[in-house]
Order: sequence, then structure tokens, then C-alpha cells
Amino acid sequence: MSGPNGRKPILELRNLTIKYYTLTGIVHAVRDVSLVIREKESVCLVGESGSGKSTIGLAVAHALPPNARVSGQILFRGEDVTKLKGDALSKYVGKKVSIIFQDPAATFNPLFTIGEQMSDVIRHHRGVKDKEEVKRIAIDLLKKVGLPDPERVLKSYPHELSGGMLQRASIAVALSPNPELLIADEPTTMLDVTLQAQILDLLTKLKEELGLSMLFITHNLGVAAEVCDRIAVLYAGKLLEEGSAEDVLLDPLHPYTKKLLECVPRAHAKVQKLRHIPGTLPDPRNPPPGCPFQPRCDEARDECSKMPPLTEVRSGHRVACVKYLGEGGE
Amino acid sequence: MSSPSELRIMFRMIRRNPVSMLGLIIVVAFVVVGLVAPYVLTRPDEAWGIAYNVKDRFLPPSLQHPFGTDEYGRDMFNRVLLGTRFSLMIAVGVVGLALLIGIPVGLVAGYVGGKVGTALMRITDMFLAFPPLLLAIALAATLGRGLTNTIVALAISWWPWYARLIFVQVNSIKNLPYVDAARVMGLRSVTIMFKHILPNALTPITVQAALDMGSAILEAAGLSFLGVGVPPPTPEWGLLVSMGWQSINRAWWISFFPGLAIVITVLGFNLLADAVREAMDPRLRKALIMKGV
Amino acid sequence: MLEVRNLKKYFPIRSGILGRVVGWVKAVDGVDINIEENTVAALVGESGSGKTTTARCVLKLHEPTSGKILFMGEDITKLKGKHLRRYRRNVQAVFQNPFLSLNPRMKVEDIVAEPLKTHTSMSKKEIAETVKELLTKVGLPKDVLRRYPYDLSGGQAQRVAIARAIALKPKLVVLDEPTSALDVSVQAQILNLLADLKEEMKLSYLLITHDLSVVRYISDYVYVMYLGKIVEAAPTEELFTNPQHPYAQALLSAVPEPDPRLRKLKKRIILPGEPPSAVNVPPGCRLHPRCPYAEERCRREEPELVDIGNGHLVRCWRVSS
Repeated sequence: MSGPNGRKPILELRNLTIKYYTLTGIVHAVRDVSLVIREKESVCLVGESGSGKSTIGLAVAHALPPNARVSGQILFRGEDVTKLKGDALSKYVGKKVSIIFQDPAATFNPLFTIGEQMSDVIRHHRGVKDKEEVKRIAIDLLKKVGLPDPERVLKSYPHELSGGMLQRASIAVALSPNPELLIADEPTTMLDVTLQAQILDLLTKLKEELGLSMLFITHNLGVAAEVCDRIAVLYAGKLLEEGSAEDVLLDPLHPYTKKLLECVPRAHAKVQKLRHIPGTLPDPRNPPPGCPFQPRCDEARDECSKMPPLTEVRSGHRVACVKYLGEGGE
Repeated sequence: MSSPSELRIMFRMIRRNPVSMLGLIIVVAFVVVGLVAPYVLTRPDEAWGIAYNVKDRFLPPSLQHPFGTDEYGRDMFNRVLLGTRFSLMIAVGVVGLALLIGIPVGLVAGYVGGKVGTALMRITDMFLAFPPLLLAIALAATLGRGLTNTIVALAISWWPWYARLIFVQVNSIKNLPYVDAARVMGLRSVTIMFKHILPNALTPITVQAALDMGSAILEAAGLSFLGVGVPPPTPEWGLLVSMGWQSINRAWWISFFPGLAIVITVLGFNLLADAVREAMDPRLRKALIMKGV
Repeated sequence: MLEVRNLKKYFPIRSGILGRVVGWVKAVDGVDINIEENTVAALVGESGSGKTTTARCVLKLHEPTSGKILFMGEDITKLKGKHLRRYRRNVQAVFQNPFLSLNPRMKVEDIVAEPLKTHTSMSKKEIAETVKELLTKVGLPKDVLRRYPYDLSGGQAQRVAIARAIALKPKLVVLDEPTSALDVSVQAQILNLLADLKEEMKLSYLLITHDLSVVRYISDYVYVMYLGKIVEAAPTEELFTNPQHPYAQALLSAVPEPDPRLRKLKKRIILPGEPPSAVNVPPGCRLHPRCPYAEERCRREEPELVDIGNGHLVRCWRVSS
């Protein structure tokens, strides 16, 4: 079904549950998450460690480690990618969906030049055979991500580039197959703040220019505000709130979102006293039943021991909290 | 960095894999037998090589003599059994002595660094440049035969590996924040070396050393086989193999069973070593220990 | 109380078999800092700015190449023996990652007791009592005494590190990115704890961080560093409401802001490129290759730190002329 501005959904997560089987127990990384990303939309998964945000990103990119078990559906343009095999799978992985990682060095093989790695992707996923054409496309992409002297970058090895340049290069690689969806897993966390601003700016520009959809993963609400149209707040594997960036940041509905915004120190406003959230994050091996935030929530009630469904309280703004049960539709 | 919880995880991984379980069983069996052997011998005099039984020479394996008898009529089962004790002594002795020499060298070289450190490591490198077994043979030949001499010769050819291992560990640990914290607290260098750095540097080494015992046994057997290790009548496995060599055609069992003992024991250590190495592989561990993403 | 005067720390670059020195990394190139009692001074900068190296010099983890560091009037670079011990009692540190700054093989009770054992002649019983008090002070339950650091959460481990740092009632605590490795919901807990302890124990902090929002919350005075030099220094609110140096302005504008209304007000200044390495420091003003306002003078002459009133210092030709 089309969203508020008539855009078709490109990615849909339906009751997505992901578990890791480890020697110390089963880690419930993602629990029953349902979410829609539309064309040309950037959605931010915001959460702290253990929220499951990175796991979801990896799942969509089909990059989960072998001890992960996925149930539920990940629909890319209607097709369930968790069930893809063989030829169909290779047409999806690394082609329709691309991923950028926190550590750009993780994207690259230190033994090959940037040029060699990019041409691999371009040849394989775009089927371009002509060497000159491949080079032209690569240089074009490197220019697009703002790298001066693309010819030199093509000939360089990953260790010869600085952190910022390498991250730009990894964005170029991610764009090589002409993907429809770009997943960015904390791409600026390791960068200095001025570099971060450059990269976020770049991603916003690329999103506009290329009409990409983005699934952006971060723990920083400020970063989410800079880059994303919509924000989904995750906590201990569950989706607690979801809506447009403005709605979630200016009018947070879930107690966790509210508290999170209150406990972040600000550089652009004077904060007298920072509120903090008492307690610690739950153990992902032993998640408590019901709402995962209940033990730390000061508005908790008895009903919270049963996880409430996501209710659409305002147009496009959903929240999973007993406070709002019975207020909205869907 | 190892911690007690990681040891627990290692055990779990070993339990899961039948092959590594086998290694663990063999190693444990080896240690137990080595400890109790002198006290459970049925024919102790023959085992120690004091008694001879000329009328029972070259008897093939039977119920009375499960491993047969040798050219002096001595029961091979008892001899191999007692040989376990000697192998254990050698294993512990060699590795222990090598650690005793190598750890201080590596520790000081790593912590002090600079010219002293470089000098110490160059000496270590010189030792490492020799093919280890050749060095051991040369040393053993110079020192003469004997259990202690064998242990010393092997330890001298071995300590550089541990010195190098500790050196690397210490080099990376000394830059960690908790060492900085110790310096900021005003602790003396010696205190920092022994209280903070050494315990953390040792963990990967101790596991490695325990598993090296298998190789020590093999090398000692080699030395004895060549005649520069443990002298007769001590029933060291390598020596037993070499003594049975001349009669290999008429009495295969004299060399066979001690040789089998060597193979099984060393195999056990190697299987266990593989399992431990796998368990310590950070990538595998990460995937298995994930505390949530 | 603590005065840093013209601190310089250069690291040699060696090459060849004989290790000849072929160049210098000018990590800290003339820094002046003043920290008074019961105040929080922040050193802000990105990687390569020299803030961490400066802190390490204050902690005597590095020997300065030149310059003086005075604590209560005494030059600490010359301290030995008893006087050095006194300095150590008075100046402590909390590092970024508590799982790396706490010895993984020591129990919490031993970690916190160590400074007491080293510097005081307290009996075992007295030490145990003090350790319990310290844990309560940092908000930890008594059952963490027997545990090892890896059994604790990030927040709890950092509290242990704080307890260890304040055990001897120091005058100054150097905080090196104290909350960067922690989850968002825990950062505020630790920041509040640090603020409370400062008031209660009349501590001073030297806060090293790249996170401007933390700076604004707990510091009284801020020094902004770029490529080994201080480019701007001012009381906190003054710096945040009225930044003068282009780098400080760019740094501030680069901080992502969650509130959409405030974001619209933010002036966007993006510095192109990346900071050069501290080996090849540009001539003249160090920022000139990236500065949108660079002029001829900036390329030739390095500006001095100029006081523009209110305790506000700026190193920029555009401002000082």
C-alpha cells in the first residue's frame, strides 16, 4: 500500500525475529519487528547496544553470521529475501542492497587496490565488460563521493588512504552496483566530528541525487536528525516507536524516547541538569517478558508485562506503549 | 586476553567436538598414568631394568605379557608403563625450565625496551636461528647422556620461543590503559611488571606451554633414539624404540608398543592444541560469544 | 593550581637500520593551560589535535620536549621520590574504556584498594572500610567487590575506575573521554556522578574530549586545540554562544543536533578536506589550507593568542585585527 506521499514500499520487515545461537545461550537480538521503508526514503534505526539495530541491517543485506536464525519476513519489493536461493539470491545480495560499515577498513581487502575492488563489483553486478567503461564508471563514482584526484585513489591501497577518504571510497563501492537501498551501519561513529559532518552531508546529497532509499543505523539521535526522514526507536530487540524525524524528536510518545532525548547532553543549548535513566540495559539472553523498558520506566504499570502492539497514534506516528492503547487505529 | 569465563567456553567447545574430546582424554590419561605408574607396576624390577629373565626372551604379546618381552626377557608392558612417568617428567621438566629462563628474558626485554630490550631479543634470535632439534642434539651430545642432561639440553633449545612469545605479549600489554593507570598511581616499574603485566601476559603462554609438552616428549624420544638422550636401562620410550630396532625383524613388538605410546600421546596433545587454538580464534569466539548487537 | 606553560612535545620519526631521526611529529607545539581549584577545564579537539598528548604530559606519562608544568607552583618535570609520590596522590586519571583501564585479572575490591595500599599505611581493615565507602560514593552496590571487571556493565566498570581515581582524595582528575565508550542512557549517569563528586570533594577536572555536548554540560572553561596549538579558549558559555575562531565555529556547527528547531538555527560551516598530519605543519596559521576566510597574511604569519576580553582568547588574524 502506498504511504502518505504516494511512494511505494521498497522494504518491508514483517514480524522479524532474529536469534543468535551462542555457547553462552541464545541471544534474542531482534524480536518481532515490523517496519516499512519506502522509495527515496531514509529511515533511521536508533538504539543503544543490544537494541538489534545492526542485526536488522545485516539481515537485510543478507550478511548475518552462520549462527543466526531468522524468522518472519524481509520483503524487498514484495519478495521474501530470507527465502532466496541460488540465482535469485545473487541478483539481490550486493546488487539491489548495498551496505557501508562503521569501519571502512572492513569493506576493503588490504591486498587489492581500490580500483581493483571497485571494478570487481562493477563488472559483476552491472555486467559491464569493457575495461574503459568500468574505469569511467569508477571515476565517476569517486567524484560523486567528493574524492579529489580519483585516478590516484583508484591506484591506491586501502592503507594509503586516510579514514575519511576511505569511508568515502567505501560509499563509492557501495554505490557501484547501482543499488536501490543503501544500508549504513554507524558509518560515522569512528570519524572525527568535522569529517562526520562532511559524510552526513554527502549521504544526504546522494540520497537526493540518486533517489536512494536508506536504512541508517546509529545510536546518536543528532545524527539521525541530520540524515533521516523517519526514525524507528529500538530497545532490546523491540520496536518502541516509529514516525517522521520531526514527530519523534519534537513530540516523543514512548517514555524511553522521551527519556533518551532528556539524557543526551547538548552542544547547541544550555542544559541545566541532565536527567538520566536509572538501571541498565537488559541481558539479551534473558529478556524480560512484556515491554523491555518496563524495569527502568517511571510510568510502568501492571499492563506493561504484556508487550503492547504498535498503535498509530497520529498519522504516520506509531508507538508500542500501554499508555496509548485504544487511542489509535490499526 | 583470556579470562576464566573464556576458559569455560573453551571447555565447552572441546566437549562438543569429539575429536578434541579424544585429545583431552588422551592427555589426561597420560598425566594420570605418568603419576601413578611407579606404584602400579606388576613387575617393577623388570620395568626399571634391574631384573633379567633370560628364559623369557623375545616372547610375543600374550595374556601374561601384553606387550611381549624384549631381548633381556623384560616385560614390555611394564617398561612402557614406567616410561610414561619418564615422559611426563621430561615434558614438565623441559617446558618448566624453558619457561623459567624464557619468561624473565622476554619480560625484561619487553618492558624495558630500548637498547637492553633489543640486545636481549637479538640473543634470543640467535638461538632461534638454529634448527631446534640440531641444537638440542649438539647440546645433549656435549653434556652427555642422562635424564637431567636431556631435560637441560631441550630446555636450552626451547626457551627462546617463550621469550619471544612473552616479549610480544608484554609489548602490546604495556601500552594498555591499565598499565598507564598503574603508572599514574605511582607504582614502581618492578611492581607494574610483576603485578600487572606478567599475569596478563602469561595466559596465552601457559596454554601454549601445556600443549608443547607433546613436542617435548617427541624430541626427547628422538634424542634417546639417537643415543644422546636418556641412557639404558631407563625405560624411556625413545630409548625403548631404539633398543628394539636391531631385533625389529624377529620381535616387532619391542619397538612397536613404545612407538605407539609416543604416537598416541603426541597425537593427543596435538588434537587438544588444535581445539584450543580454534577456541582462541577471536573471530570464532566473537560469533559465539556475541553479547548482543 | 595547575599551570601548563608553553608545553611542547615532539615525537621523533626514525628511519633506517640505525634509527636516525628524519623528522618530528609536533604533537603539542606550545600550549598554555590554567586550571584553578574546583573547576573543570576542557581540552577539545579532533584526532591529531594534541589534546591527549597534553593530558599524558600532565600525568607524567610523557616527558615534555620543552615547557613547564607547574602544580601548586612546583615544576613537576623535575619531581622525584617523595615529591613525585605527593604529585601522584594529587593528580589521578579516568580513562576512556574501563575494560581496558582496569586490570582484567584483579577483583574490584583489589582495584580500588590498590592506591590506598600504595600510598597510605592504612591497615587491611581500614582499607576494606574505605573501599566500601568509595563504592557507595560512586553508586555501586557492595556485591561488586568480589567481581571481575568483565562481569560488570560498561557503566559499572567506569564507576569502579572513578572510585579508584578518587580514593586518595586528589586535587585534580584527568578525564580522558570518560563517557565515549558508554551507552547513551548510561553516559548521563556518569556525567551526573562526576558533577556531583566535583562539588562534594572540591575536585578539579581536566576533561579531554571530542564531544562538545559533554563539554558544555560540565566544563567551566574550554580550550580548543588544532594541530598542536590552542586556537581558542574561553569560559564555556562564552565559547558556545560566541565562537570566534573559524575552526571552533566549524567544530560547533558540525555537532549533530537532535532538535529540529535548533538545527534550523545552526549555521552550517563545513571545513573541506582533513587536517594535515602533525609532521608537515602548514606555515603561517595552521588552518589556512582549509579556512574559508584565509588571506595572504594567514599563509605567511602565525597569529598569536589574543585576549579579546572576558577571558576569551583567540588565535586568528581576522579576529585580532
